[in-house]
Amino acid sequence: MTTLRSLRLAWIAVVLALIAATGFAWLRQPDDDEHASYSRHLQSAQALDTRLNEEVAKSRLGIVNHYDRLVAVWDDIAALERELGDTPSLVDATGRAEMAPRLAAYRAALRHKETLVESFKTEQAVLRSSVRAFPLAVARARDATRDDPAAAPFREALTQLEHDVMLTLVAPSRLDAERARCALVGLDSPERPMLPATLSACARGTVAGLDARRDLVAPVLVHAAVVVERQPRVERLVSSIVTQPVRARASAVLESYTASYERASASSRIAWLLVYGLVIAALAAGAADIIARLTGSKRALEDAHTRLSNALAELRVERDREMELAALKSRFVAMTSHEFRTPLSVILSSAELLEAYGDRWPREKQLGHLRRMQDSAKGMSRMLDGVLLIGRAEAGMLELTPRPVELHPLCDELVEQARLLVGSERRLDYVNTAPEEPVWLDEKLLRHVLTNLLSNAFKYSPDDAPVTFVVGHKDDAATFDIKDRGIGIPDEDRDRLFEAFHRCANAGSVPGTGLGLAIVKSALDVHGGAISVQSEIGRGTHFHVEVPYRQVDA
Amino acid sequence: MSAARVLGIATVAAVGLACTPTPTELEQERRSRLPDSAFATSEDPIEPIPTRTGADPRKVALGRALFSDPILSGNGSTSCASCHVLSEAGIVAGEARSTHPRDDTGPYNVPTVFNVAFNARFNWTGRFATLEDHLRALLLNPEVMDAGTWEELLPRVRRKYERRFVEAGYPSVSEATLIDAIVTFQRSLVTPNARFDRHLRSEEVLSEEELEGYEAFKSVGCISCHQGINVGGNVFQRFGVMEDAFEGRTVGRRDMGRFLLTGRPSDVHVFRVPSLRNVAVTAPYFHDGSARTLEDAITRMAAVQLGYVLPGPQVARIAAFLRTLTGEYEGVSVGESRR
Repeated sequence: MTTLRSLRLAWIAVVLALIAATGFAWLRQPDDDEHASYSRHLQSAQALDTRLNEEVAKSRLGIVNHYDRLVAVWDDIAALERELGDTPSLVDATGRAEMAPRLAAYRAALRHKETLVESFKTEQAVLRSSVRAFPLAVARARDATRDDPAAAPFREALTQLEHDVMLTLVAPSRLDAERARCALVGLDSPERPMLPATLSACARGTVAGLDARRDLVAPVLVHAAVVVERQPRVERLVSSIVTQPVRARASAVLESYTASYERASASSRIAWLLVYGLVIAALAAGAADIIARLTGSKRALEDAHTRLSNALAELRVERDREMELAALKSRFVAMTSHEFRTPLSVILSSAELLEAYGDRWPREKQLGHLRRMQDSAKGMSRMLDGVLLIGRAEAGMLELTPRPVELHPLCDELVEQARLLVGSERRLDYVNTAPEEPVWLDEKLLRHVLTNLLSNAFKYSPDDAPVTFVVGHKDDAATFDIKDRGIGIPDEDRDRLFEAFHRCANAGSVPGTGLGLAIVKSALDVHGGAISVQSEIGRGTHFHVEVPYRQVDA
Repeated sequence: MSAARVLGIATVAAVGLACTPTPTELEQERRSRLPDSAFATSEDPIEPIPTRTGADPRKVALGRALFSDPILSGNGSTSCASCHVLSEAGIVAGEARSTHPRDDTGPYNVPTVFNVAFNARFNWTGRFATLEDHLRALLLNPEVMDAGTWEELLPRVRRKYERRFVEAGYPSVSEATLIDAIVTFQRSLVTPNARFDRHLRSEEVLSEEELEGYEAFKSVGCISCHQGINVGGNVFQRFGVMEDAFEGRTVGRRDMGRFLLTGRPSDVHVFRVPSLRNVAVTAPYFHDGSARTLEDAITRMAAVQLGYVLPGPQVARIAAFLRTLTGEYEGVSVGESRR
């Protein structure tokens, strides 16, 4: 359940982070640099327009007599115009829709102004050269006729024209300009009411003998026409240039741009707050997930620790057992080598004696040695049987083969055997209350159990102490009680009483292999029986055995 | 101490900003070299050409190589230098030669490439406001370079020049960098140290005839249009203010001037006033190359533009003045071979 919750948290964190990342990619912080440069451009557009007007005025007034500066300012304006084409990304669709017509209007005003400025330059160039050339032409005509008294009206007419034309330049009042224009407009028509008659006559070449004057008058009239025609045209151009609403339109663009910038920054603040909120939420979910995972892994760690310590404990037990086994083996080797060597040396020495002295010894003595050899061999054989039996038991190869057994004849026989073995002088109290009918038991195993217990009882008790052997039954089990009044079993040996090759501390010089009780235990285990012991040092020992009857499956 | 630190930071920031000029800043920097005449004398309407351009020499070298490399053209036969021979005053000496627009009215006279940096508009009709636009159009114009499309042109350049572009400080070969390299070179083609410029800077005294020619140039009225640093190139004017310049000749499309662009009747026969820098070595003259000599051009200009019939000596004086406008490119007088 913890894992599930943790997984869910992780997913929430991932989803929130994804949304936030989308927000980051999608949302744009209004670019301050972009904004600053765009609004600066819009402001310089206005400033540059003023500078352009100033340059036009300087050029018109002859303060500057070339157009390089005018061109330079115009190039700056054109560069700015290109920059203004890139509307900053922060302007939304509404802002763009609002700005587009204003930008277009600004551009239109610029285009118109550009045309006007180019025309101004062109017209101004012509006007300037004529303004310069006209008085020179007048002076030349006047000088050429200076010595001719008859040309006095001609000179006067020249002076009148010069006066009129120059007046349009220095004081372009309506009246003077109008009068001068009227004078020249009719230049090609037969009537020239305002133009001095002498001049018109000269121009037409109708005054005989004055052909030279015609050549003098022609440039005067041409330049006068240029000045009078173009002077008002240039003034109109200048006034149109100055009144072109470029500045106002740039300011309108700036206005709508500023509005959309403020809108953009306001909405982006909200959007960014949301995105940052999402980021914080994602971080919180991620942190919660990490905490949950850490808690989970702490628990897992503890589990692992417990498992490991259990395994370690098991390993320790295992190791102890291994060590005991090793000790057992060395004990087995020591024991068997000793137990086998003794009878072997008996056999060897008897055989050597028989070889050396057999001829000379009486029959009786020979037989004694032969019997010793046979006894030793039998003892070894028994011991070997015991060892093999225990080996089989430990290997789990001891099989239970129950058969119908009559307990009375069996126990009687065992008692007889024991009496034969220990001699008739040892007292054995034997009571048998077992059922008369046969019971299902493994006779062979039972023999091992009882033979060993009986022989132990005699072996570890003084010769005059009686041994009691009681056979009975209890429910579906046969019971056997073997009591002696011998040396007893020390408490410290109780736990390992049934281990192979273990002999009690007080066993002393009593011969034994330490296999007897081990065989008893193994046999009983195979049979499913139980053995218990009561003992007191120096007072005696009481073994109680219960062997359940085996029912034949058939 | 805090104030000093703020000042230090501000200085560092300013220097940092100054070290990364944007194209616009470069443009403005170029213009700021134009002298401020508003407060200077109104006597001299002509300014001397600055002796230094301040262009990046690596880009100039690259642009120079591209300028004379025919791989820019579609058939590999034409380069910019085919029509603008630097050793021949930036034109093909003595030839009124151009191929665009190719129609029966004959070719336009190729203007020199020298000092284009100081022109306000480009081409006889002033069709282009920037050298970049001009170059872009000429490269792709099938009548001129016929470079094909950019997709065709750029790989050709890239194969040969990729490394050199990088060495010149460009990130790669692209439309913008190719244009910039060539235009940077074009802007470096200035011809300072004309005798007249040296006269303006009081480094040299002109002859009496030359000075009289300058006075006549001004008083006759040539100066009205031929003014500024380039002695022209910054204003439009009708060819034939006082008289019909095309009297007795067939008027073709070529002669219509800006009218071809604007369609306005007032723009008929209106052309960009050409620069008179190096004019003595860039014959023939006029948009159609119809004036073979300087004197011929002066005489016709005075007549159709100013209404003067200039006497021969006056023409000679003005021609003498115009010859003082021949400058130097890389220390060699324009129009003279380095040999």
